Amino acid sequence: MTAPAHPADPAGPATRPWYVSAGLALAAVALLLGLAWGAARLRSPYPFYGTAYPAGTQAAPFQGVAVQGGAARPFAFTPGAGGQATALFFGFTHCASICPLSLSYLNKARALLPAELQAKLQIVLVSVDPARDTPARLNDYVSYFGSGTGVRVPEPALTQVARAYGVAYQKAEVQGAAYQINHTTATYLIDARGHLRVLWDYTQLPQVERVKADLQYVLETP
Amino acid sequence: MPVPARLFILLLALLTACRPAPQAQAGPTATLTVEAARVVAVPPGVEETSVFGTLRNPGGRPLRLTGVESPAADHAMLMVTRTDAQGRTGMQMTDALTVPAGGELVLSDTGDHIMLMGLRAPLREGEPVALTLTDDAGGTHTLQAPVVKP
Ligand SMILES: [Cu+2]
Repeated sequence: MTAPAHPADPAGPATRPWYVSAGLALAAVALLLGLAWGAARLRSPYPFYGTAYPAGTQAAPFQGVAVQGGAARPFAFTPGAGGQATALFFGFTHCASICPLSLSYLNKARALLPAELQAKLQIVLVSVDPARDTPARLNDYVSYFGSGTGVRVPEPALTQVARAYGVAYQKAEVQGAAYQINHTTATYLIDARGHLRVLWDYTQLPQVERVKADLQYVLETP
Repeated sequence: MPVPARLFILLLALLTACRPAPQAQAGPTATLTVEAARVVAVPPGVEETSVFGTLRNPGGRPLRLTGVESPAADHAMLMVTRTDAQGRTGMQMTDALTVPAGGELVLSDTGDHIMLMGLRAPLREGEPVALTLTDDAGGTHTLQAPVVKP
């Protein structure tokens, strides 16, 4: 009988100490998790807070009228024009609760960005109530909650624009008072190349830090 | 009915006797407390806004709010927020909002809230807006909500 190869291991070389087994098991789990994480990152390379669009989703251009430089002028939205990114949403100025807060949250998220990035992001509100929302009224509204552009797109063009972004809207009569409009309340982030990158559901906007992180990634990675 | 419960109701009836059409199960108005009440500031020319906050009902019975009024607006209404199958979100008037017994009702932009329509004058930040809520037993609950820019 030969001397044991590992005197410190009287049970024989076939048995690993428990901590080695545990270490190997942990390494295997870590490897699996790493692979799963990698696969997820390949599908959506950045873990957006909002919902990511498939790469290369082109945003739709549209035309309307907006106050620019103190006067109502034709406004042509060309996604990505001038190297600008755009946070776009659809609403109306008679909206009592969701639209004012959307504007407020988007302005707050933008204000958290480094100054040079703030300048690269515009906020655009397209009215789903062109019958009542004049460009001047939209401008007063948007300016009150920060800065941005309020665009009036007349029907039937509005229907086309809304469809292009997957936005639905419908008039809702209110007993004894002016009508309201039920509408899709998402905000769409379009990058400097004119691609749709991410959308936030309205209920996500109050988390301005996380919205800001999405904004920053898209602004830095057009 | 056990005697203590009957006594309690009698007591409540006495407490609410001065109010119009009181019902035995009505809680006294003092049972509703309000926290972080606020009116969303809107620019002049906009005549609609919302009231948010947290209503607490320390009482042992649910408080069913059936009406709201404010001297600041032509109409004040109780609203719920709903999203339909097409993803359209909007508010609908509701007959009642209930503050659960010993619980709270959060009034927010994403859920139940109070809507003011036809503001009689532009709102000014920081100024209080008076609101009177009515419950289904005829009890009234008055609160002051400051105008806050979101
Ligand atoms: Cu709205």
